[in-house]
Amino acid sequence: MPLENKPESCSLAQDGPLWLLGQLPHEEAAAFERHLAGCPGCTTRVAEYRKIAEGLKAMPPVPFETDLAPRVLEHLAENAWTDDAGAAQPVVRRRRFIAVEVAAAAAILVGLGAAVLLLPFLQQRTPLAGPVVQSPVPSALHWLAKTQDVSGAWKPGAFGGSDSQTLGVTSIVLYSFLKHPDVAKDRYARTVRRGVQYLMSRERPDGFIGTSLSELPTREQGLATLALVRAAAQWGDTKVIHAAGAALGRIRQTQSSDGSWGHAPGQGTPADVTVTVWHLHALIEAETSGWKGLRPSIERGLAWLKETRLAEGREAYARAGSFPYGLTSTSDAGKLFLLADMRGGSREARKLPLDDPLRAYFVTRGLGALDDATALSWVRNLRSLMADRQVKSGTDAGSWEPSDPAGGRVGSTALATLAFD
Amino acid sequence: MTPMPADHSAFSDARLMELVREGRRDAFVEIVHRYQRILVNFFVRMNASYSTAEDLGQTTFARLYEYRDRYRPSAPLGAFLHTLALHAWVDWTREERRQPEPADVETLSRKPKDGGGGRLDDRMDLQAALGSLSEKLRSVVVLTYFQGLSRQDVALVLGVPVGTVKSRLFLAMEELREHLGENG
Repeated sequence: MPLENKPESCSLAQDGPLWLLGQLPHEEAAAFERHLAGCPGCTTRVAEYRKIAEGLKAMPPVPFETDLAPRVLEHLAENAWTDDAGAAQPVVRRRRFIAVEVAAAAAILVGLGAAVLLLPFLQQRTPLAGPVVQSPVPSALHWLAKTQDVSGAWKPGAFGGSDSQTLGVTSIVLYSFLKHPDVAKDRYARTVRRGVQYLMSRERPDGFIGTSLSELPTREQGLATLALVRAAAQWGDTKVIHAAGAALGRIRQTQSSDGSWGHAPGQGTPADVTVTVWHLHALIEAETSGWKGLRPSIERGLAWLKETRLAEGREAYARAGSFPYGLTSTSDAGKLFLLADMRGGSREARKLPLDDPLRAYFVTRGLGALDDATALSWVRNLRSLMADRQVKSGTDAGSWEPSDPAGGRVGSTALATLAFD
Repeated sequence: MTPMPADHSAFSDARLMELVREGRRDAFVEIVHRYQRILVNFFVRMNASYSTAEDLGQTTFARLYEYRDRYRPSAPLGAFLHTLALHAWVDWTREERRQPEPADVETLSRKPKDGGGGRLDDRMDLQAALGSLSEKLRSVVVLTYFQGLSRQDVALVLGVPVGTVKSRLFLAMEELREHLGENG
């Protein structure tokens, strides 16, 4: 058969199957029929496709006598057929507070001395005493669970954010579920598994997790590793443990010589506080969970962070101007979280982070770890005010308003939920 | 609450999903009855055994309930269900690194009550040929020829452009042609 008559060489060859199905648009169908008139190769091939297609269509449906409805209903019996709009609504006792400025908290830190390492924080938590706001966590997790994409990810694009942040937002949502096992463990087990499987599907064999074409460390690497480490610790699943281990290995390998993470060292670009904070967060979480060999990397990272000075509250992420508080919150909050010295913080850093759930998360973690009544009272005040701001009705009941155009409502809700850990 | 007419089949899929979101169990049961045969056949054609197909059908309907708020009437419910079904299939094959079960004689030998269906060995050949395709190509053949979805709906289910559906269908037919030609 001459090459020009072979289907492989015909530009319209791919149209054959759809033409047989009658699914080509009219003009394309007409063009294909004209082509057939002059192409014996395609004519022969189409005849073969027709025989196959007829055989496929002639295969009868598998006879099916079972009724799946009872089994499905039995599976849903526990939580089905209730009014979904009636998902648990937090009842918040309204209290009048005088907002405590962060300056007061900073004074506490100054008084206590700077550079308290995170590890003692994780080991010495004092339960909060006194009147407690009814937790908004159950309704928040309910909203998060119902907004999960069928792929297992959480896609911010449909909720006021950007789908470019899918990996990072998915990670922080998973972390928020995993940090509340008392609420999430049974009810949302499948939700969390599907999310973790999504993360693992985005991991390369060398432990890189992300969608970026760049090999540079990204915030998503830190966030995803954090979630995987937590999941590994809670489940003991060997596949998840392996994935977490690879991701941690990647983090260790990509640490710069000065202890930071971010842009490539020696190329004249500053290291990235945001990336460093999340990478450190992942390493410290892992060490607490029992992973060995991470202390040298952690020490070097903390040392770099302590030496990094604030310039008007902004560090290396200066170009992300559209992120409200973002530079300030990540820089300051990260440093606060890791209990570095805040004396150099900007005026913005001292505001109550009601509209900045990222900062609220870091601040509550940092201050909540202090065995100090004033700091704990501040955290309770913040949580009460944040609970007031949770959406109480409608389809978004349980969520918090978007605080930035990246993570949208999903990101805000996940971070706010973490502030109630 | 809107009273349901005695004949649920009069309601459209979109209306039934609205009622499901309101918590109407009878609406959900109607949807299960409408689509359970279609979904079980989907999984069998993807090369699951009959019992696995039933299990995966159950999983898919449970996820339909779980994701009821994500369904938008602008897309056919059938396409949405097949999207959920495909995910259930991928999860199942990925979970234990399973390979699709070999063409199941017991499943394929079930004859419809009217006695049609051709010869068993012809059906075995075609099912085996289908099984030899990659997941990517098999899914487009199953959705197109067995589930009767349009190319646009197949594109929606697979999350790919319509042009990709066309090219995958072409590649699948080429592979089926070669496989059946070698074994025919």
